[in-house]
Amino acid sequence: MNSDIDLKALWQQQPDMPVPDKKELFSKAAKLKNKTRNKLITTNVLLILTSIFITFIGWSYHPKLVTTKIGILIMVIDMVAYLLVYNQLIPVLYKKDAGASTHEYLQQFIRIKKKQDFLNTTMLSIYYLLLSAGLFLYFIEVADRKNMAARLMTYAITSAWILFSWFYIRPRTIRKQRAAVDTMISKLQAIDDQLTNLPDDSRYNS
Amino acid sequence: MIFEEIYEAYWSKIYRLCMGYVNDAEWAKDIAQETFITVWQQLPKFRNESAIGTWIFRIASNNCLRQLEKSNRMPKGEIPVQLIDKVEPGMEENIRLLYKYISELSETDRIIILLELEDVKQNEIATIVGLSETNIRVKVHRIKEKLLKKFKQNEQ
Repeated sequence: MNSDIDLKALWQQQPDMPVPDKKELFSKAAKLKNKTRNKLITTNVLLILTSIFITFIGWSYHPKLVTTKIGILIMVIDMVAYLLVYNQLIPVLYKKDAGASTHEYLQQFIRIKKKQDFLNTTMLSIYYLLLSAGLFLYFIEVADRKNMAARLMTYAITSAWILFSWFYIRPRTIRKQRAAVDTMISKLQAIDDQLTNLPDDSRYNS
Repeated sequence: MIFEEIYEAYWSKIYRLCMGYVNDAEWAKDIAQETFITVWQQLPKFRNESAIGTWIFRIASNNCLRQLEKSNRMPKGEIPVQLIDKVEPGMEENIRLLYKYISELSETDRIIILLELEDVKQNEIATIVGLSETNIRVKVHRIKEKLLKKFKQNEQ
């Protein structure tokens, strides 16, 4: 083999590839579009239904104490607030300029990932905090209607759930999601650095 | 320009770019198809600010970079069957090696050299990647040196 091999000529020697049927392309387009959309719709529908369910349960229970009403309100506001922040991702995801230069594209990508990171960590903590507070307020009245033993039991179970979700479920979710997003951000950043870091040596720079 | 014409004219180039990037025939087909889906969706918005080729190559390059999200997918390192059949005897091994050596480069180097091999002008590569033309010239030179060195080492 000749070591002065002409890479471009070698590459250009490859014959043209057969063009796959266009129909295949369009059915794939439909599938891809549905996948992203379905995930957004599922999250929205799930949280809205839960809010309605909580309001409905609370309402049919005829709460007498103001703490119960505040508790329900906090939980509903919590879910709506989470959705509002979550849905801010939609325009960002759809407006992503696929025809941007590599450098710009990487920057866009990093911004999206940072937004997801915020959603996964800060917003998730706020979500759990408000949910726990709402739940606690709600159960004051539930406990109030029972005898001493049952009341203690209710408080114990509620507190246990709040502690469990705050100290176990929340950090676990954050850790899992954060690991994925953080790896992505650092990989993207590393690729962007490949572009901007040219070796100091300027022998060929003329 | 209508989509059908673009699709016919650019499929091979884009497919080879993707193939060079991931070094896996099926995966490359997926990325190439996703690229044309984006082209099809965004074609009405395309304003001729750049040449259509530059725009398509940009979308393809960005799609290649997005493959990071599917990092659990491992390249098989096989070149397409259709390609092996048609390549002149004796060249097959060199092309296979070229694909292999390119897949060992860093992500952006892969994109830059693949565009260069596709005969995209260096000022266009510069706009596709977002670097100055001088930078691209330096990079292309270094990457070619790297690849040739690998060919040489293989000879020994």
